[in-house]
Amino acid sequence: MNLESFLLLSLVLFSLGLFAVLAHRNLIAVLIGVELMMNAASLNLMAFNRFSVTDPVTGQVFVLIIIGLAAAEVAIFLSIILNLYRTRRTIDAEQLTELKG
Amino acid sequence: MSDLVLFLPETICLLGALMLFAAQTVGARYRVVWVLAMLAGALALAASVWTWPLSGEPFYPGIYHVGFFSQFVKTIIAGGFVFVAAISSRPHTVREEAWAELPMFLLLATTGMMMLASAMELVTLYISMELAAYPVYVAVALHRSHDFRGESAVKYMLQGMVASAVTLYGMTFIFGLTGSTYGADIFLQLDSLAGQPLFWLAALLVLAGFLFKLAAFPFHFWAPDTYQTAPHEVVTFVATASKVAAIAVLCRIAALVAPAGLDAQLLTTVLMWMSVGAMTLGNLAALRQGDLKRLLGYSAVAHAGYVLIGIQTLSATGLTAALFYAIGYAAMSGLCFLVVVEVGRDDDLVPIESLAGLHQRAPLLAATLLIGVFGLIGLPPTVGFIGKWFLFSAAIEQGQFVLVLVAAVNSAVALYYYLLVIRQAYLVDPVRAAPLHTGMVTLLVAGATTGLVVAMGIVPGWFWTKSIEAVAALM
Repeated sequence: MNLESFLLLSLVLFSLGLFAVLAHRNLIAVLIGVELMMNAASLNLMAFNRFSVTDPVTGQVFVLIIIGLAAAEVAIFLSIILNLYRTRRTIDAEQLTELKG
Repeated sequence: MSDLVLFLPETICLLGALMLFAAQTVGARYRVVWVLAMLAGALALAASVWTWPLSGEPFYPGIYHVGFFSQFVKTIIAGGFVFVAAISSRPHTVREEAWAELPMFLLLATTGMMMLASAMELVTLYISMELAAYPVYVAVALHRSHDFRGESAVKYMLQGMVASAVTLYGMTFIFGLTGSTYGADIFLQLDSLAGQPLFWLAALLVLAGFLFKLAAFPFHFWAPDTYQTAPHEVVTFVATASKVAAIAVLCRIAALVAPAGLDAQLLTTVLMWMSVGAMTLGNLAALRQGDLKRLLGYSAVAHAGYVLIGIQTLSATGLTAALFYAIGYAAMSGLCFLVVVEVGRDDDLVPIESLAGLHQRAPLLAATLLIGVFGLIGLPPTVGFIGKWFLFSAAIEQGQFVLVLVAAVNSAVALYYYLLVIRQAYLVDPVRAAPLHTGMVTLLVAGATTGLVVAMGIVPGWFWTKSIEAVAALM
């Protein structure tokens, strides 16, 4: 395994995540897409850490912090979705059309 | 210990947020919470001003830089928080059970924004960015209306998460190319990096998150929806403090790249097109809006375009103009939203018609709106005129006549929809005849901010000198 294959994998993950965000209607699926994008970034960091960076601590700390922040983000987003579901009985992004411009 | 003095404004905000959390946990009345929030805001403002002459790096070297630029920006951000707190003495559009939580979330976000102004290292930058964002996501979801609460929060947060994930992805490449997350280390390697397209691509990805906060094209989709349906008080915060923080980060990144001799062609070109896109789209879309907050949302997109004119020059003059305009814009849009908060007290949506006859119902508010809108149009003697003048002349210095021409045409187009707002307030008879009573604190804040907008327009000298000093401290 070399650096390029990891970077390629993370690029695929990132693109899949972005595709999920754009294409999916279910908000949970969209959230998973965002998580994929963040994981792609983490994978990138670890790959660079392993192959090209002299001081491997920085990348690992960065990834740990990303994991923590991602958890906080999921908690907030899920609670907002829950709130939405209670009032609207749906978590379908297509039905969020109260606002139009 | 003396290092911690440098961190004073942020410490005050953090402790203030903790105190507010404690206050609302023990069930303090909103009045108490509000006074505490105002106190914390005022203290943070005073501490920011007090730290102007200081410079240094608290904690670890190279991560967090305190200098005149960061403290100047923190002053504006703290001022923004005080402004928002002052006009939310009764945040009507927030559901009543959550009133006590609103100032806490806003103060936490203020902490994050202040840290953004100082962050010199990628991890710190990322954490500050998220700290500035998460509390606002929650605050948007505190709307009193069931119809708006979830929807606008979902739309705002979803786009915010994607933008920050893109920023993060860009940061990983910068880390990979330079082997460091420190701004100073990256700066040293710029010469060798400048030839690599991947570096510029990564830099653009990093900018995405901040362009999102600024609501610049093509990251503007959240702006009209969120502006329209978030609680009025929260939108005021998003439209003032949040914008200043985003502009500060963009200035810092631009100042990193700015030193002469670097071939930043890709970056400038992309930023220039974003600026053109934001101005044109914002102004054209604003033309057909019937909702005042939505109109102000598109106007924010257009103004992001004007600010980008200054930033894309990558010159000291341009960045100074952008910073100067940031202060002015925060004050001008703050004035407009102050009127929105007062007029829209009982309504979730604020159509332009709800301003009808404002000069009879509340002459002082109508005057406030007049000054704010004149500023956004760019008429003298407000800061809107002189700020645009500085931005345009910075672009002309670089020989970008076409860009300035586009901006000038845009300003002319914008005149139409801003005048529609003024027309409702001054020339149409009131639908609701009852006079609108405004609290003392709000009027005081309105007066002070109006004074700032006019003073910066007539005697910009002091503010301009301070902006020059701030940007000089950056470069």
